[in-house]
Amino acid sequence: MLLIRVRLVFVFFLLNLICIWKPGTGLAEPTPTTLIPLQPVIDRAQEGDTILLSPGTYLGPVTIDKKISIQSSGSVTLVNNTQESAISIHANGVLLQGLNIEQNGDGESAGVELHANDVQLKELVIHTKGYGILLRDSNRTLIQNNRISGFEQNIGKPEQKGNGIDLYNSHDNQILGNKITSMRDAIYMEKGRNETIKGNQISYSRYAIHCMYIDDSLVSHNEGEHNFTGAMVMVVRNTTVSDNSFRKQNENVYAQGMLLYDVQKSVIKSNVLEGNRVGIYMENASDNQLSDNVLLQNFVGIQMIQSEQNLLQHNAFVSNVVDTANKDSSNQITGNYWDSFQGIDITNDGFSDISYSMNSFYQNVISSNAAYQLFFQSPGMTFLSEIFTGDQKQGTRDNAPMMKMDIGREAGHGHATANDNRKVVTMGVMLLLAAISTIIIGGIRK
Amino acid sequence: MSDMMQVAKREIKMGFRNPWAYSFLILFSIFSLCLLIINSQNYVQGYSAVTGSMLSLILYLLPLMTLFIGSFSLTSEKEDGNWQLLSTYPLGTLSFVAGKYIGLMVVLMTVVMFGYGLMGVLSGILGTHFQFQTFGLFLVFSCLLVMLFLSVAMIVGSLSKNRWQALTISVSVWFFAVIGWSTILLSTLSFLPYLWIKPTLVILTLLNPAELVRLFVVIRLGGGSILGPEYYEWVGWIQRSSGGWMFAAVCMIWMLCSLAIVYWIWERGRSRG
Repeated sequence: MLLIRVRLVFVFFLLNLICIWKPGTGLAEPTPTTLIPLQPVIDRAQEGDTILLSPGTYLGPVTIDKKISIQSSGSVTLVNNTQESAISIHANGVLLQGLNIEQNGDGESAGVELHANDVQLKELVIHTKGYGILLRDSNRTLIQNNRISGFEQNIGKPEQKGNGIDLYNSHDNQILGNKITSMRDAIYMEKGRNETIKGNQISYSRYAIHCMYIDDSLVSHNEGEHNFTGAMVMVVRNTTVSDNSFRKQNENVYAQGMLLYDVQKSVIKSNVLEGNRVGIYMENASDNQLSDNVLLQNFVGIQMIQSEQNLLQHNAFVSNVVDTANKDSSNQITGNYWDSFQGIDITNDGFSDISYSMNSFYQNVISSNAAYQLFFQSPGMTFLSEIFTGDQKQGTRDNAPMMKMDIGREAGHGHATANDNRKVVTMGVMLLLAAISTIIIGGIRK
Repeated sequence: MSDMMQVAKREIKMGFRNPWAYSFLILFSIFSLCLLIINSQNYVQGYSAVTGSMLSLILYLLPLMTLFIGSFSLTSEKEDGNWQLLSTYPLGTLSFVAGKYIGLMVVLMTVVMFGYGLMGVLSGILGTHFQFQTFGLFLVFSCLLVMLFLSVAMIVGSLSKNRWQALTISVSVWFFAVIGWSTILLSTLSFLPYLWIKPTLVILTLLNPAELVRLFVVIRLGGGSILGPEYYEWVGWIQRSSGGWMFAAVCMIWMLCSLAIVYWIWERGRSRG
């Protein structure tokens, strides 16, 4: 393989010199002349070449129509001020690595646009007014360790921005370890099979992961914070959504940890959903298996509408206002941990021998007027709920609730550490000494 | 100022010679150990149902204790004839009321500190995990409850003629504010037009020290999302660092207003009496 080194540093240096020696100007400021057009560099390369770009600022847009690799030796920035995508790839097997891309065109334009197979995009930093990465009919792409962020404008209004990674009619793609922030949908996928979305970190976007018509895929180990909805999964079959965490989305009224619409035969496992309006919202979803999920401090833990034959097993429901809102009795709910339930375990198998019927009294109270939510777990409310247990028979029921929470202990993020313990003990000693000396000085001494 | 300190010192001395203070001290110490055991079942940081029940338990005991000690101390002044004697001295009513308040506060805080001190030390010995932030917030929660309910207790004590009356009023205030609160509000507010319910509820919550302090701690423990979209703005305010100061200001206003009422009652009694 032939290696072409583009030695543009020298030209750069000369340009700077000219600027410095121009009478009346001070030190070199970044003028448009310092932008090096990138397209000629690509045009000079041969099929199969690797272009190693020297540090500097380059000008887009560029189109790549042959199999080449573009890498950087230092800080390389590609600026694009047009309404086209900064980099459009039309050849299979292209590799882009370690570039900064500044996409100033908005609308449908993107940092990188793909119309080819077997492309690899690694360690790119894309700052965009439009989309981040667009995939159109592109298969077997590897998108790894990139950072994609939107501009600061329209903050809090992610729906006016573009998607971070936008995939359409593309199969067998892998999206791994990317950090995406301030976009509309961080990862949007429509029509695809065998996609792998793993280990991405997503924040301040509308939906972290949005799947439409995606089958046989894996969404795992992703982390989302401060998005409107963690995973929006619609019309999906045979997909696994596991080990993701979607937290702190409560600032939006419609915040959901996960929305499953028309999802069939999928596995939703070991996810942590914290601080959402609804932890998992299911509609028209059937034959799914939901297990080992931790639902923490959501308004509603799991809400199921027109969803049948789902199995909810071995999940933990902690500090949700309403644990489940379930209208259909064909869903099987068994062996979950509910922090609001005290069970009795005579057989000592770790599961309660009395079943847990959810008390919907409080739920009815707040559905009459949401203002009453101030009474959540107030001392008086506990008494009232115990009196009105009449409608428990229609409510949701867990036949054998788990006695102890044995999953997702780390979900509580930050347990009492040794340091915590030391501080508590020190504080305790100080308080005790203060109390005793007050008693002696104030009361006993003459 | 020195008059006030004299009254406060006398109150502290009387307080620690009173068997009531010690019986409450023992009760609260045993109680704090129960809290420690309950907390060891808590699996998550921040707010959970376990924290909720701990808060409820504190809400049952501390206000009642405060109301008893506070109101009895004032009625005993009347019953034992101390006040008749003190009125003949050049002692301002304000110095008397403020001194009483400070003295009683020191006694009650000592009880609370002793209980929490014991809890902290034992959690170290037993190795149960107690988060520092939670521990601190519970301490603050208890101190605030004592402070606010003490000002209620002063009013109760001023209005009652003797201990029995004080006892009756204290229990009814406690029942109304802690146990019956949601039941009574749910039934009476249903007569109001729908849109009035939330503002009325908010104003009434500001008037009930038990609910006020409880909601502050719940939000500070990170359970703000459970109050739902109706109260997002509130949760935002309180979770900010300025929220703590704002809450402190609300508590100060609360205390000053009730002390003003107490002052007015005693001054009135003095001039007529």
